[in-house]
Amino acid sequence: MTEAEVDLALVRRVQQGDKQAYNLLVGKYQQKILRLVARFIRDSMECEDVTQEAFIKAYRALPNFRGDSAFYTWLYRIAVNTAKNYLVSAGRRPPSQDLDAEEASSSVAGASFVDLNTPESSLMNAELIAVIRQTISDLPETLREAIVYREFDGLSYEEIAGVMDCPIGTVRSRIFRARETLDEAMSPYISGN
Amino acid sequence: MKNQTLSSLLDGELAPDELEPALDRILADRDLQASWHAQHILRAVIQNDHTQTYCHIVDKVAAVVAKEPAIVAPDNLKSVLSSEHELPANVVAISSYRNKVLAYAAIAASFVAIVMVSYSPDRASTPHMADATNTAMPTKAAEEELQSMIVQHGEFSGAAALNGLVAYAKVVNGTTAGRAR
Repeated sequence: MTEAEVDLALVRRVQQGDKQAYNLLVGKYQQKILRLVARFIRDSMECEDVTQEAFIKAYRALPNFRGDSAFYTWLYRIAVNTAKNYLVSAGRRPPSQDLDAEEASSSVAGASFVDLNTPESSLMNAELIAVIRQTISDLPETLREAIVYREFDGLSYEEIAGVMDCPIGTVRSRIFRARETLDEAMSPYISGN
Repeated sequence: MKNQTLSSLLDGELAPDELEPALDRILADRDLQASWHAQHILRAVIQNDHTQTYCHIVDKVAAVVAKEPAIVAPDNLKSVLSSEHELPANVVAISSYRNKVLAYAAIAASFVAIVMVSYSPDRASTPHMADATNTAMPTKAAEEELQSMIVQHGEFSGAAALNGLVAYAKVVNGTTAGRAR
């Protein structure tokens, strides 16, 4: 089961009237779309507005989404068009060159994005990042290795089981416990959700 | 993180038959939804893809989407409409819209039928009484006059709500059909 299949399952639920399922899709892709929009629009408030508008447009267009492409690719196109239309309506010229969806979603591309943070949010982010790093560092070695292999290196459970020489079920349990610890550590910083 | 299934779902490591039950559980549990959002923020931080507005966009979009009508895809519409007692208010609105369209279509059909029955091309030359047995072919001018009248009156009919499609349709009556033969 791939991420695209999970997305498609959520999309089908939205198409059957489940709005809560759409919130999960927004939560999953808001960072990527915000970063994507920031390639076109420098002002952080405008970025947020355009990102929000892109998600709302996508929701309204979802009845026409047939799953021929991945949901993120489809969402990406809507976000790019929304950002470009915003620039045109504001009398500004959109960039002539587009990124492809893969490039836009990669962390390498993310490094060149504009900084969207205000001083306050930068401080908050710095604290959150520090908490995450410290929590990962404090994890028991087996949990730390499992979550690092998964989140930093992108290995599958089967690959992690091979590297750590343990059953897949153990990998599943270790990653879950690592996430549980991280979740608790992060909760004061993301209580807005 | 309250559920190991959610963790596996995030990693795309669930069996296909586990997916729908897992989504059912997440969508029914606000704590699991919060964990879903937290874990994606964690990923964004790890992948250096993190911004300050992460909390607000979900909330703002959710607020707008909550006011939108629920999506009902065509495949599902039929089954939903068959169980009227379970319809939420916004789906009832869709049902009501369908009924309006059908009503407009019926009005438009009635209008066209009345025009066809009451207007005979021969009436232009013999206004006192139409001869029901008269099967003479209408003149081109009379046919054009009929079409013109339908077009001119179309915007005042119920069919106007259907973007004028019915009003502008070519009218085929017995005489024109007979001429076609």
